[in-house]
Amino acid sequence: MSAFKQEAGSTQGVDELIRQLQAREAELALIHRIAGVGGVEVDFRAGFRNRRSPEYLMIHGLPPTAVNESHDDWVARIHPDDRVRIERQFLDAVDGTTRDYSAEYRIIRPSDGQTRWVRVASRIERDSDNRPIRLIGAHFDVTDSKLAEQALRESEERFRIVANNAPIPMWLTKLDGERLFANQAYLDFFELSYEEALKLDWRGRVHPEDADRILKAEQLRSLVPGSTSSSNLTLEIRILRVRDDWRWIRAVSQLRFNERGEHVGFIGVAHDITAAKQAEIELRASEERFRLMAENAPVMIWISDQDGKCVHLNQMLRAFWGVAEEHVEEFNWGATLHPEDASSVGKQVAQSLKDHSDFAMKARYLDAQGRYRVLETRAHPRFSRAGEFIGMIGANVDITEREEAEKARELLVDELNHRVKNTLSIVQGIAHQTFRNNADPVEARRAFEGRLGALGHAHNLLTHANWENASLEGLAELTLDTKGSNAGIISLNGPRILLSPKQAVSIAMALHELCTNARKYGALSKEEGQVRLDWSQTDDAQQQLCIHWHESGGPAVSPPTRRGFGSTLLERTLAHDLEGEVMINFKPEGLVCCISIPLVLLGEAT
Amino acid sequence: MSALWGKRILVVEDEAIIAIMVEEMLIDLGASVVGPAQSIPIARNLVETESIDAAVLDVNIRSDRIDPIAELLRARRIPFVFATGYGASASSAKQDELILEKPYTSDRLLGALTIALGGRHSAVAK
Repeated sequence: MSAFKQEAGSTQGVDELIRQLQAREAELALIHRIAGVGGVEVDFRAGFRNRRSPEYLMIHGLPPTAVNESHDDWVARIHPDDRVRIERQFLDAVDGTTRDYSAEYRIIRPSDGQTRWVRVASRIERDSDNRPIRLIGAHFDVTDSKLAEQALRESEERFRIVANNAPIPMWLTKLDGERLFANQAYLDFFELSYEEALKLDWRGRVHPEDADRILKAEQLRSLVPGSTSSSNLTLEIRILRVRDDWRWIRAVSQLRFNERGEHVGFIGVAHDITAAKQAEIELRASEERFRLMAENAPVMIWISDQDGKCVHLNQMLRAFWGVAEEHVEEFNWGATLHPEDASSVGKQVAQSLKDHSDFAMKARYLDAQGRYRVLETRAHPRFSRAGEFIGMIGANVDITEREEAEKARELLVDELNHRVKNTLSIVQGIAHQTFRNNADPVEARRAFEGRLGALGHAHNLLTHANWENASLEGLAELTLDTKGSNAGIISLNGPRILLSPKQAVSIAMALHELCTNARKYGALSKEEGQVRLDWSQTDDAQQQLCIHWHESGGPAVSPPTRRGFGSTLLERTLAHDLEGEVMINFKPEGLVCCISIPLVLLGEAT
Repeated sequence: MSALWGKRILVVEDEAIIAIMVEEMLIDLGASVVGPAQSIPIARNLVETESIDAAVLDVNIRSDRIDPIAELLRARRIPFVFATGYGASASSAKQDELILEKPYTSDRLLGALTIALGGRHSAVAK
């Protein structure tokens, strides 16, 4: 600056110029201060003579006394990793022909020992022989931007390492779909090089059946405005990995934003779910098979939740209760229980839900037709994969018929027992009378056997007709043996008449007694003797049955002196059991017996 | 001499052969027989018109239950025994009322009726 003073013309003008110049310099210094620009001047004409501005000293952490530091002072301050390279660069620039010199390097700032990044931009003035005269330059502290740049680079490097080590394909794209990055798994999956992967037309590899779904999903996403996470896209599609190798993948594409929050593209990952998908398809098929089986099974199948509410009823159970499929969940099955069964069933079910245990029970439920049916239920607890109790599954079988059949069987056994005992009582009665009234044991035994035979014939006929009835003709045929020993001797003549069990037994016994009597004393004691058995039926309400026993061709008849069991039985049995009337006429030409009984008795079940 | 000597016993039994046998058993035991009745109306008529000391009632008379006759006898404090082939559970016997299972012997008939009449069978048996 002293140079200006010496060269100035007039003192007045010079002073003014100096004042202006000082003002300009002050302004410049202020600008340097504000901008953080450190000024430097190196004079090469006599070695390296440095001059540092106050801002330079601040940037480099130097004391004011270092204004004219030496070249070696500068070199010593450079970070050891940069020192040799930077000094060489500087010396080469000075010794060369370039007029611009710039560099970026680290220093260790003497004031606090911190490593700082410095950027220098400078101009080298040279003479006509290209010898350097001096260098004027500007220093900036660029540590902050350098660190940020480094952090970014490290972050990107980390992403690359993570991405390349991830076992699933990942990629980055720009908004226009151009792929910026594909990780190693992506390359491995498609068996492509990195460059090929960036250019891969994956849409061309999507299974035709899935292509439409992708388009629709993307259209849907494009309708969703901007930047919410709901704009993520997940697709399960089949893709051609390499030739003939179709894979199911689950691709998740997320929106990618820059630091200003602008949507700049997508980041995607893809899971190979082929195995899972295959298993899922097989599981679904298996589930469908079991669902069909359960739905159409000829037993009632149900599933309940952990509170015992219906979750599922199969077709048969829905039909039983008359519940539509869509109303199953609100259906209150407990309300269909027979009031007498409600509390025991309630207790048992509650206990099972509490203990997570099996149960088996029998109860009556009202069906859709309003009838109570007996259902036998067996149920097992259900658990989630995590082992949590989630309800019961069970099957009901309608055992109403079985129960009724059991009851019927019990009744039948009871009835059989009763009949056997009743028959034994009758046999006892026959024995009682036969042996009481017959002095000759041989005669007594024969009479007893004959009477048992008559009883047996009646039972045979009744058994054939399910113990409901027996025809008079059939009964007479068997009892009197009209097709055997008495064929052509005893003739039968009458309409078809069905007798009740009691009537059949009494009439069989009566006919047997008449026949025995005829053989002993009457017409059948002679070879030419005949018996005619006629019967008829009146049309009145009582439907009186008249049976005529008419003997002929026998010895002359006279009334017996003593009445044996035969006639007692005949008369009393018919009178007592059938409310009938018996008239025995001992006509000399042959015995005539008229039996008259009402077929319809009051109090007699038909 | 049995406890039934001179007693008038009503027999209700719809099976004639059995009725005849019971009748003869009772006659042999020195009793006289009222009936035998083979239907509920006939039995009812006999209860209402005859003097009766005790009764032997078949539980099922034709298709009817003997219950109304048993009720009638209870009302008149006439002792009786049920006779049935259905077993003890099938009758409507009240406590202390005896059931004779068919077929039964004269001895058992005597025993049951003796107890029904308030005697002790062991004292009179044989």
